[in-house]
Amino acid sequence: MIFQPRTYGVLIVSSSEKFVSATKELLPMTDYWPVEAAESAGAARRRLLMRDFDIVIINSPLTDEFGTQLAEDITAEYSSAVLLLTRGEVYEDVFYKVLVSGVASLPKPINAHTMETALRILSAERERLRKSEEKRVSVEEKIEEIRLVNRAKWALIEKSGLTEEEAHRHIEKLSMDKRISKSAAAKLIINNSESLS
Amino acid sequence: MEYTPKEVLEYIREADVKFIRLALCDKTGKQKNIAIMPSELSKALEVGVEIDASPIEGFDGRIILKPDLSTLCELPWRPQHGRVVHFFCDLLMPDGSAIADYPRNILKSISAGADTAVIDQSFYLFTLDENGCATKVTHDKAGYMDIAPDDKGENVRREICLTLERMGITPVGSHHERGPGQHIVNCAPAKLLTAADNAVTYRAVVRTIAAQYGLFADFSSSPVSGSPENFVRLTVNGKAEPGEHFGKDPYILLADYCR
Repeated sequence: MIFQPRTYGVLIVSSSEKFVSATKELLPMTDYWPVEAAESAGAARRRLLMRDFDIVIINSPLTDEFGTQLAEDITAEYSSAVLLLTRGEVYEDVFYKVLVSGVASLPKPINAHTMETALRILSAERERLRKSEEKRVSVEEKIEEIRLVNRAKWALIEKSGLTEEEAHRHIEKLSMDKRISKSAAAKLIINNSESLS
Repeated sequence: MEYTPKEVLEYIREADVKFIRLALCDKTGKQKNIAIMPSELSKALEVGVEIDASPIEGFDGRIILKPDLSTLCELPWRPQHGRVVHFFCDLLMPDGSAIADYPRNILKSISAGADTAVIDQSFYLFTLDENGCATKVTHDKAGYMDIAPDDKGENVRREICLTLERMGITPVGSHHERGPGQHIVNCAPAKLLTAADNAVTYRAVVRTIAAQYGLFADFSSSPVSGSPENFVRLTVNGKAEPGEHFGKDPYILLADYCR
């Protein structure tokens, strides 16, 4: 067994119990956990309301809709990797339709080996999505740091009569001396000045 | 916001709008619409679109829908490639005269000035079965102002709020109501005609977002026997208007207030 740093949560959306149990057999707990099933698009949507999944496998057609709308809605709103399985006759049309929404699709029937390989590719896609999520979060954190530092500078200029350059250096020195981030240093300054005023 | 026909046409072109929905309400206050293509919009703005309204409750024969330009609004839940926008409409007879007893026309002609109002509407959320049909099972069994995990509708209410905001309606708060699966999203007051339009839009938004989450939103009076009924609350100029407002067409509700 190769040590895995993480496991992937999988949601299987299918009205066929046979498909669900056959797929579950390909998802060892060492690599994929939790593994849940939803029998319809509506049930899948309600499940996704309550928790996120890394991989969603949709076995179309579903009983309450075909499956393409569900696939596109998931890629638009969540960071899950989505695999849509369709009957061979409609596969080409469906593939091109959902491609633009970032939905991967494969034709049925699908054998165990192909499914296993597809799941590995989806796991890699999920890691890529995770990285861009992290990048986005770090950009937001950067913007928040800039905002906080500006507020702290303003408090120092107004309340302690420092120039902007002096205020900037004060924040940097505080963060270095106390070995805390600039955001944390800014927050300290803001809280202090609020309690003094 | 007042738009000129030229501004509207330019917007439709630049924003790659693919469908334009023209909305009206039937006699029971239920929203109906037709969709036209961008190529038809110019004509629609000038002379309107003629439709056969006889299957719609409260109408018989042909009528003309003329978009009320100030109600232009993008539908945020439609795909970004191929945007959809919507207008509420003034209704005219084929000869061009206004339809005297169409509630929105009436409210538009008598409401002016600085009065503001808001119509708050509660709703129940039910799960859908495997065929996509509403069941009698409420989404949760929580109670008044309960929190997650008892309240399963937090994310749905949040998405409703975000969607209303993107449509120019300002939500001010939301909470779980007294009944199991019962919720409300409260919005900021607006001028009377806008408040009535907002009440109609709110219902459409709630129903659409609920469906996106595999749920059915029920605005009927007593969806769960033995549980609190749904209610409609009217507040004008900051004061709650007493009386029974449930089931009334929002335009008539506010037109009655004016009289």
